[in-house]
Amino acid sequence: MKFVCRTCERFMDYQDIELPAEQSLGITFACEGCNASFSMVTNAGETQMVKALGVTLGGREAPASAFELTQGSLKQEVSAPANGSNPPANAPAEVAAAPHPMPAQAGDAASLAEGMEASMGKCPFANRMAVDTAHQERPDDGTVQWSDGALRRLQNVPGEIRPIARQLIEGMARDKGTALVDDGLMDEARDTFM
Amino acid sequence: MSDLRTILDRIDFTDDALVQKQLTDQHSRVRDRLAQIQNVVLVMSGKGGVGKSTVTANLGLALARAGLQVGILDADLNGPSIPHMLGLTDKMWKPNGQEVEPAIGPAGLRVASMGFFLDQDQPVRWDGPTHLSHVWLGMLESGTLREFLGDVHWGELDVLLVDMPPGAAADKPPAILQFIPDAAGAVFVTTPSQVTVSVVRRSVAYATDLGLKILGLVENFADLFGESKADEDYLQQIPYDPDLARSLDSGEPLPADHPSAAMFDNLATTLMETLR
Repeated sequence: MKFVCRTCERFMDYQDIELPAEQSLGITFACEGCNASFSMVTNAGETQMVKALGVTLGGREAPASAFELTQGSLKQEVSAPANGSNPPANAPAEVAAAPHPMPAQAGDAASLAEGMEASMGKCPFANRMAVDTAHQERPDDGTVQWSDGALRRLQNVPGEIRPIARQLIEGMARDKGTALVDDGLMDEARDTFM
Repeated sequence: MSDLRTILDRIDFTDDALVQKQLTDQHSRVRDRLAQIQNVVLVMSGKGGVGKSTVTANLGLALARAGLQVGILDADLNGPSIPHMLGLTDKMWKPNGQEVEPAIGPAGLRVASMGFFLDQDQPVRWDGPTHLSHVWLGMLESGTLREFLGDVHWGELDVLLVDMPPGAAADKPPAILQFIPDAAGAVFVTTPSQVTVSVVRRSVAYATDLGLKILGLVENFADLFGESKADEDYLQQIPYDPDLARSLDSGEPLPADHPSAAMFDNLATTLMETLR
């Protein structure tokens, strides 16, 4: 998917990304020539339909791995605590509720900008998703942690926009000077972004 | 203002996604895999709970006892039961690379099932907007079936049995058949119940509409109303046998000399004669 400014006869550039509504992604593009801008707003159904085809947006550079679609479409179960095992049923509440570290997104602005720059003349939506995938694969440095409840709520966000939601929420946490995303912060995020 | 085609020519538009090629590659992978399989046989029924998986598992074992290379694809994505029946209960698949080895069951059966991705008692939970599942779920399940056909290293098989999910109509048979245009045909499982027979007849008619060859009917629970009676020309009638039920629950196949195993041997012989 590409966007062309008919007036200036050039590809439009990525400007911004937002979550304008639940399960919806808003990406704003602008023309450097005439400053015209517009926002593409996706609905969850159309994005999921493309995903269900099992094709790679923006093109595939390597053959599909085995069960790429199936594995990529199964909902991730809420991850176990850091030691890799579920707490026993009779575990103390504070143990069961121990926060889980999540990949930190510090420095994302630079990498996002880099990704968007690379999208010039290419499908910006695909590039956006590729950047998000790269973020998902980042190692965990443990600087932002998530409570059980917040993590469960994050799992309710559609997979396509979950990395972006996570990034925005962790940014909120850093702005507020906290290293923990909990239910309270999730409520704030909902009020802010939805 | 120039027309869009002229503008795109000027600013070097290219199709980065090559979606058509990607879809073609998907089908090519399935085609190449199926080229090594002599016969693909669907085991189906319009009705649930009639014993499709029972027949599939035991027919597979009987064919393997006859010296054939046999695979079983458990196409019941939401209710996979073949692994349990064959004693393959572990969540074992974390595919890496472009193909995955099938699980090897009793008698060397090669088995693929959604159950190998799931923990015990864990349902299939797709990651997507559930309130819009009518838009995307069928397409996703179709893609998953494609991956079961194309991404599993089935190897050279004489027969691949496909254990179809319950339900006669509109979605799964066409979803499978789009990838297996050369399927050998379908075996239908029914019971003496007229309710079941009625639904199975609809299913047979629908399969015929799809161009699927009807290989025959297997009557399970053949003594449901007492004495078995053959009103139809069945490939095989199978009375209820507690030993058979226990073997499926325990995941330990019946010994080859068990009378019920012998019935499936007979079914295997008849089926292979039909396929020749």
